[in-house]
Amino acid sequence: MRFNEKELVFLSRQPSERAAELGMKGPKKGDVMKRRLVKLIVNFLFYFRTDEEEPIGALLLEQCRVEREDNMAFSIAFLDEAERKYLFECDSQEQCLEWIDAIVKASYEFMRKNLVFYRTEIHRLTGKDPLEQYGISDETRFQVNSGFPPLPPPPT
Amino acid sequence: MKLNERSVAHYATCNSPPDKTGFLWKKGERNPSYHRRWCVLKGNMLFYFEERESREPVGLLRICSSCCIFVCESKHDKFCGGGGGGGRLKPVLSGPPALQGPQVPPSVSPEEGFLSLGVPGKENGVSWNKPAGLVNGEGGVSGVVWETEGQGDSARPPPIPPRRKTPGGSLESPVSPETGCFSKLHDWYGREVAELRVEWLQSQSEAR
Repeated sequence: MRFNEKELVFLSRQPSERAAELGMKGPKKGDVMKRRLVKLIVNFLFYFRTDEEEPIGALLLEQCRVEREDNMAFSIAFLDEAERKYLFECDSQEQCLEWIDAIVKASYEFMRKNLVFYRTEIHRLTGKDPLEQYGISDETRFQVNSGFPPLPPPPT
Repeated sequence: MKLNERSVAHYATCNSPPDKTGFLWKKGERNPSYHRRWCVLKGNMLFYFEERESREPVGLLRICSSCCIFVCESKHDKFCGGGGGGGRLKPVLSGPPALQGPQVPPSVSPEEGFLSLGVPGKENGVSWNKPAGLVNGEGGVSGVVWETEGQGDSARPPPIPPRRKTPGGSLESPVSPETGCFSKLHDWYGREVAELRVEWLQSQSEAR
């Protein structure tokens, strides 16, 4: 799949939501824990060698699961390859929890689901649909039941 | 630079609802010709596929604060603006500065709707879909022209409506930073129609 690497490098230079030196281990069997500068920017997690300006790589944080592993570590696994986990080691329990929280909230999907949730709440409490003023109330992406697999077509 | 490409491609095709889908005419950096591609926008990710039924995207064009969105007139016959059937004026992503036109603010993103609900959103770091401060990133962006939806496989999109002339004689472009949505374009061009209609109705009532 093609992507614009320069665009990603440019993004990696933007102000981050959170950045720290963490231990990081890749998902492959031979991978070992290495010290990396990890930067969270919108829904991307960039990782750098500690003395370098250009990132080694990026992880798009959509459709992923973040789990606590041990006291000070967490893992990121992607739903299409759930056995392959990226492992991160923090310096404290507190730091670990903060990272987990930040990564979970970084995804666009998380924001969308929140929007749907609050829309429903506001409608329940006030009787008004807050999206109506934007004329986007009927869009599929803002519906409560979207995101589930589509129903099979009716038999002909 | 490494990227979790397989998972990114999976995200493009998974069941999370896209923000927009449709056919676009896309011109690459190296290849000067336009190709029609099925495009899927999910959040800050714009994917393009060879066909609508393709299982994997050909590639990813990303929209965030790292690219500029311009509206410009196409040199070709390719449609560069809004049209009938609920189509909206769509942005053209253009690479070379020579093609710069007025900036089109992105249409209301879920985040803007989200923030207006009074829920704290992202306050630090890079903002999502912020209209101000869109900066042209390095590395160039492919030229893209949106087609209106509902046209399906039809070959020729409707031509761009003629420009209006103000009484002062200066040329007022229908393409302005405000014409980011079809309803505004509709109102703009509809003015003339509305005036004609009033005239006609008056003439009808006088004739009786």
